[in-house]
Amino acid sequence: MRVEAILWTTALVFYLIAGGAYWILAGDPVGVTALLVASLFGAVGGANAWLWRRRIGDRSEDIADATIAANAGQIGYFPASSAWPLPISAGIALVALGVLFGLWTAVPGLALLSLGAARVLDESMHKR
Amino acid sequence: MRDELQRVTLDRRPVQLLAAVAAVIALGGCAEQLGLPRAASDQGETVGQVFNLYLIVAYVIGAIVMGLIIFVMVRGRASRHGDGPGSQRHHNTPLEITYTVIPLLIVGALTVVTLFTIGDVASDAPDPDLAIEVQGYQWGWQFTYPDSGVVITGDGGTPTELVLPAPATVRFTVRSNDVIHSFWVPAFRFKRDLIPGTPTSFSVDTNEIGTFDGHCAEFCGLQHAEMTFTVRTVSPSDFQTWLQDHEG
Amino acid sequence: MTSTTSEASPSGEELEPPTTEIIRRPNLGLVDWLTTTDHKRIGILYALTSLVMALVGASLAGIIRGELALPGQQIVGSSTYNQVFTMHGTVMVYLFAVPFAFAVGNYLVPLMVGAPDMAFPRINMVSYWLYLLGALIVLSGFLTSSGAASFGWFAYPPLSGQAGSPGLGGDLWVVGLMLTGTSGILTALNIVTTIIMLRAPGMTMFRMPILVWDMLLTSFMVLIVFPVFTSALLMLLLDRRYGTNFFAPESGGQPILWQHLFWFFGHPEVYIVALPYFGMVTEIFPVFSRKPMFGYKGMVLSTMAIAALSTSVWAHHMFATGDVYLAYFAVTSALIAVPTGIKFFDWIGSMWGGRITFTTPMLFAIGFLFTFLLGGLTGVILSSPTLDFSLTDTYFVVAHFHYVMGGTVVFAVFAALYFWWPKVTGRMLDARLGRWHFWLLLVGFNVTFLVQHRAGLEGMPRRVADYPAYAPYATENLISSLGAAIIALSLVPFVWALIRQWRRPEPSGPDPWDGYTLEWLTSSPPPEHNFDWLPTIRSERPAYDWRHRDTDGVGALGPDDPWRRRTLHDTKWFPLHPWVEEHPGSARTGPPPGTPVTREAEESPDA
Repeated sequence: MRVEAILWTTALVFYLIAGGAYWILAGDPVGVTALLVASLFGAVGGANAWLWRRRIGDRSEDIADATIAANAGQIGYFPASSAWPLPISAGIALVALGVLFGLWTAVPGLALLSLGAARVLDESMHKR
Repeated sequence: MRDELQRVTLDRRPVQLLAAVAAVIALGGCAEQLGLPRAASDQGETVGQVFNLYLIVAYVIGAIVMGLIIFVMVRGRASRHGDGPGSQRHHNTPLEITYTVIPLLIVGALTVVTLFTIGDVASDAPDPDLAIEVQGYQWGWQFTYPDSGVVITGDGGTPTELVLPAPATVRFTVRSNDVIHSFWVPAFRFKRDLIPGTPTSFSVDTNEIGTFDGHCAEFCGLQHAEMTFTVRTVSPSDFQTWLQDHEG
Repeated sequence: MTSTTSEASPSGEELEPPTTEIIRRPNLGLVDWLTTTDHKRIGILYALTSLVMALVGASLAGIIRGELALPGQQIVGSSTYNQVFTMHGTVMVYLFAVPFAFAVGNYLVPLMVGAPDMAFPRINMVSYWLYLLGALIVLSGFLTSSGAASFGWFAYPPLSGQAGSPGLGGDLWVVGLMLTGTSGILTALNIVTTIIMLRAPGMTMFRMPILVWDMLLTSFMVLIVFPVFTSALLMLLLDRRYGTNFFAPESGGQPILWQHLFWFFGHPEVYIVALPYFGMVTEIFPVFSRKPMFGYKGMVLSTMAIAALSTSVWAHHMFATGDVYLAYFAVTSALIAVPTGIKFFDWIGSMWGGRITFTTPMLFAIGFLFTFLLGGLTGVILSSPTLDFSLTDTYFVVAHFHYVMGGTVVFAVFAALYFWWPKVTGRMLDARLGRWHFWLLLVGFNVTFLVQHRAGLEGMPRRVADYPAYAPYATENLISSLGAAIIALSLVPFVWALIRQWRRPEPSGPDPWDGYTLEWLTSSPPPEHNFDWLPTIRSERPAYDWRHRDTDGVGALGPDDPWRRRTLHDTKWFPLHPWVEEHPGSARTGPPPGTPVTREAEESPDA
């Protein structure tokens, strides 16, 4: 995770410098806010990466002479198909369209969204 | 612009030095203006010089890089060498540093020229010969001469005519009450957006007598394309006559 | 499933990579596609949808060029024209260029890093559906009585506010883009997680293909700027529907606020559109030059520099407002030219001293170089505020961004299509038709857009539905429209090649180009969950190293390296799709796990 952590930290440092310079030179609050929030992205990602590096050390993908066998065993759950992404997305779209066509469309939208989310959760828990 | 512009208007002596260098480079290629139509203002002429410089640099770099690409393709074509692996060299640090530093120097030099000319081009003369208020609306122009109370309003038919003296320093204050427009006279080589709620000003030193087209340059709705005007520059004495004709 | 780790005998004789036939998958019909969470199928769905969007955008461009071909010509009239150019920009930028990059990212990132799938397969599919629904919502504006959005693709308020554009089309535009924006954020999250967490052992960060690096940094930029855009859209929606005043000047709002927020997104967006395509051609140049990538680290660092700088140059789109600090943005904008230059010389270096074969993907990649060179040079000119005051909002800018975002994207898209088509379908695309396609597109593109520089310099403002007959740029517009016709014509050989490979397929095998990256070591098309087998990864060209493992001094490794200890990876690495388990061997590239790999075993056909 070392390179990844450095990558995020670089983002943090760059946006702090860019935001600071822009603050001093231009004093435009919108841009300064945007740049400083961007530096938070670096801070969050970087902190996460450094913490995990400390906890687990180098993973086999960080080691230059690792063999493929080093990752033997199950590395995750990757379902090949699921029916629920469509209802989830349709639910989100219905909620958004509610702003235009009356908020009643948000009712079926939220229903689809929560049903889909529950089913996906169920799939993950039972590895279906 | 206000105080921001003053901050970028740096010491003038290097400006002249660099402008001289720029002019030499520009004149080296050709004495004429490349690409752009005739300028009608001092600012426009500065833009023209900088544009010549940038364009010549772009042509030279473009020719070199394009030549390199073609050279590499022709020299390395497999039909000449037969199949098989090419050179397996995958880096050359001194070379890579070279082709980082050289573009940095070129771009740096160009940017310095730019920084020293911004203040000249986007100028805002505190003591102009003439003040004009420009108001854009959907879809036409209104030009007000506040010192003499003359107001020229577009009628939607023929392009509205803005009459200016030349040579003279004219200060424009631009404003809009509906949507964003942009006041653009190609011959001045300058444009300024009309932001509703935020009037801004800039000045132009006219130096040519003639008639020039002007457009709205920021898309502003249905008849954006028809939102044109003309600028007619006349001698200062003719301008006084014109002003008196329109007063009262 | 048993965990098997079989090692090759020291002689190394049985180390041939497994050969593959085209795999006939069971056709489970439309339902299979609608419920898939396989990154390859999602990638294909993304690609198909975005290519349909490209056709929509191109048809709209045809209307624009028709309208502008002659002064006074009215094909659709101002009102429709404004909708048409707005939707042309919207469709091309938001619904074609970014999603196609995601299509390639979706398909190739897991393959290139040796992962079984994206990190979050179902969120991946949610992204696709959000993109599709968002796109349909944006386009549905054309069906409303007041027409589609007509305020330009960057929607400057107050024109894009309720008073400026009261129609429903504008609302649909805002809501649709919020959905596609959300979709983009989810996809970026997925790509970052996949690259950080699911690389194969030995695939260190500095061994990842440049395309993967570019997708990673693009995703970083998406994560930084898309939320800004989506929230700005929400503010605009609230202004339009609920009477808030973020951007309405008459009640204290700031139109310039939108411009800051929009361009804080909008300029990185230009690089979000560009970087993945840079990555695609970067994969292509070395392969057809029979060389390694030249200056790998320089390329990665320059991509990082571009990604970082691009988020602090936004206000160079706002020089003419007179309300931004010019010097800061002049310097940062000009600086971007430097990493871009590095990329150029790295691409040239990757061909230098190579053995270049001019296959169709290589031709398109070279076309990309030429168009990007021209766009880059005009970009340096536009970065100077001195010149930008004069040139912004003219056809010079139109020509510039059609070179950097139009030409480069289109050439790179076709380069990628011709390059990875065999991998995705298992069939080759005809090379002769590909050459016709390339030359027609190259001529058509340059005829269309080169003259637009001149039209802009002569004073043609952008986004005009008409221009007077005496305008000095009338001839340029006619030439430009003729060029557009040539571009349209260039699609004929491409469509012909598609029909041809459909009717008379020419099998490509797993690796028709002698590719460098991991995807060429699996079958064409790859099986569910991609790999039954991975080589040891010791450089950024694992497939090349694999082919040259026994050749002294050619590959990255000598004959005594641990390279020879190829290991079959464990099938428990990932759970297989049920269908694959029912039909062992049918979707595999190598022998079934557990079988010792020998020449005989490979020569005996699977079935």
